[in-house]
Amino acid sequence: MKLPGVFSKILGRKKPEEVPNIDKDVVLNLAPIRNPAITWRRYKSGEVALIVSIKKRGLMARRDKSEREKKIILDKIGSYVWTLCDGEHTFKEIVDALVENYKLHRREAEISLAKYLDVLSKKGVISFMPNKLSLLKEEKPQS
Amino acid sequence: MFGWWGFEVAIPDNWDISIDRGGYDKGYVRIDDPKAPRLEISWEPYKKDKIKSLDEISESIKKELRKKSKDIKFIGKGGSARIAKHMAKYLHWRIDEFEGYVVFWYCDENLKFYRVQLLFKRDEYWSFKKTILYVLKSFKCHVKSDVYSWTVLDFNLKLPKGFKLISRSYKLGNITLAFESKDSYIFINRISVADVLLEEKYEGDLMNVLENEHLPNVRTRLKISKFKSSRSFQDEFHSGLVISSSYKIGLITSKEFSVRTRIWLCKKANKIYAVTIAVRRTPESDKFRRRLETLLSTLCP
Repeated sequence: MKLPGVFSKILGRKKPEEVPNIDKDVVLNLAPIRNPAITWRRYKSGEVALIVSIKKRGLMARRDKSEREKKIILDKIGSYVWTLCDGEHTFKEIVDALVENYKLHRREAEISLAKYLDVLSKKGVISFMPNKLSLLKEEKPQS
Repeated sequence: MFGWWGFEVAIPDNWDISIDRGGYDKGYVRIDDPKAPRLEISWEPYKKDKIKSLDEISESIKKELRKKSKDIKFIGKGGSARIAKHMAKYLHWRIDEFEGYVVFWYCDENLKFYRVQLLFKRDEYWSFKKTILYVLKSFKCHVKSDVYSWTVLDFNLKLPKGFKLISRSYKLGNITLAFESKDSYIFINRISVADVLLEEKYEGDLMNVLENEHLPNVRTRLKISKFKSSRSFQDEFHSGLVISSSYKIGLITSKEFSVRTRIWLCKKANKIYAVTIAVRRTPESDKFRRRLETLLSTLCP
C-alpha cells in the first residue's frame, strides 16, 4: 500500500527508490575502464590477479590503520573481460567478443557481463565512461 | 518460431525472451531485440458467459494507457484484424518518439484472452511495419498438435501438452528448466562455455558437473540418493554419460519412478547438456520415455 509522504515519514517507512529509466543503447555504448589505482598482473596461463587494498576491521583497526593487500584471481573469462576494460571497448564490443570467442548466445553474454561488471564496479575496481576514451578525447575542446 | 505455454509466434532471429511470469492460465512474456523491448504478450482465461465486447476492452485499454502516460496520443480510431482466425481489434498509440500497436482478441479454442503489444520508435515505423505484419500473421494462440513448443534463447524443445513448466532460471551461462506432468518430470540444464568450466572447476569430469550443476536441480523434486548404473558414449562431437536409477514415493499407495539422466558435452556448441527424465513405472512407461527422449533429441544443435 502506498502511503502519503507525511505518513511514511511518521511510520518510518522509506519510499521505494525510483529506478532510473536508461535507454539500452546508452548502456551498450558505455566503456568500462579499470581503476588506475588497482595493481594487477597477468600470468602466463592468461589469468589475471588483482591486488586490492583492504582496510582492517575489528577492534584493532582503530589503532592499526594500515591496510592489508588481498589478491583476487579472476577466472579465464573474467581475465579476458578485464583486459578489455581499457576504456576503448564498449559494453557491446565486449559482448560481441564473448559471443565470438566462447560461442555464447548474445543475451546470455549480455546478462553475464552486466552482472560481472556490476560486481567489479561495486568493488571499485572499474568504472564506466559514457563513450570510448579516444572518442571523448576527440570531443574535448582544444584550449 | 517462439513457443511458450501453448502459443507460437514467428519472431526475428535477434529477438529473445527477457521477462516471463505466470503460467498456462495467466501469464506475461516480453521479448526484446538487442536494443529495446519489442513484443509483449499477455494471456488470461475468460468465461463465455462473462464476456466484454472488444470495443469495451478497447476503451478500457485506452483508459489504462492514459493513466500510465498523460502524453499518450491515439492515432486513428483503431481497427479490426484477424489473428489465427479470431476477430481482433487493435489500437495505435504514440508517446513522444515511441509508438506501439496493441492487438487483442479472444481465443475460443482454449478460452483465453490475448493481448499483444508491439513497440518501436517513430522513425522505425516503415521498416518495422513488415515485422509487425510478420509477427501478427504468424501468431498461433491455439496449437492443434499434441506437443507444445518451448523456446529459451537459442534452443527449442517440444514436449507433450501435459507438461507444465514448474521452474526456470537463467543464471550465468546455465539455463535450468523443470517440467512436470501428471506422472513424470523433466529436468534440463544447458551450461555454456563448457571448455572453461570443465578445465577450471571440474577436472574434465562430467560426473562432477552432473553432481554440482544438474542434480541439485533434480533433487529439489525427487530425492534420489544414488544412481544404480552408468554407461558412457561418444561420437564425433559428443561425449557423455547415461545414468539410471529408480525412485519411490509414498508409503501406502507408493509410486515408483524410473529415472534416467543423460549428460553430454557438445564440442561443436561448447556446451554441456544434462537431461533427466523421470517417468512413473507403468506397462507403457518405457514407450513414453522413449517418446520424450526422441522429442528432446533436438536440444543439441
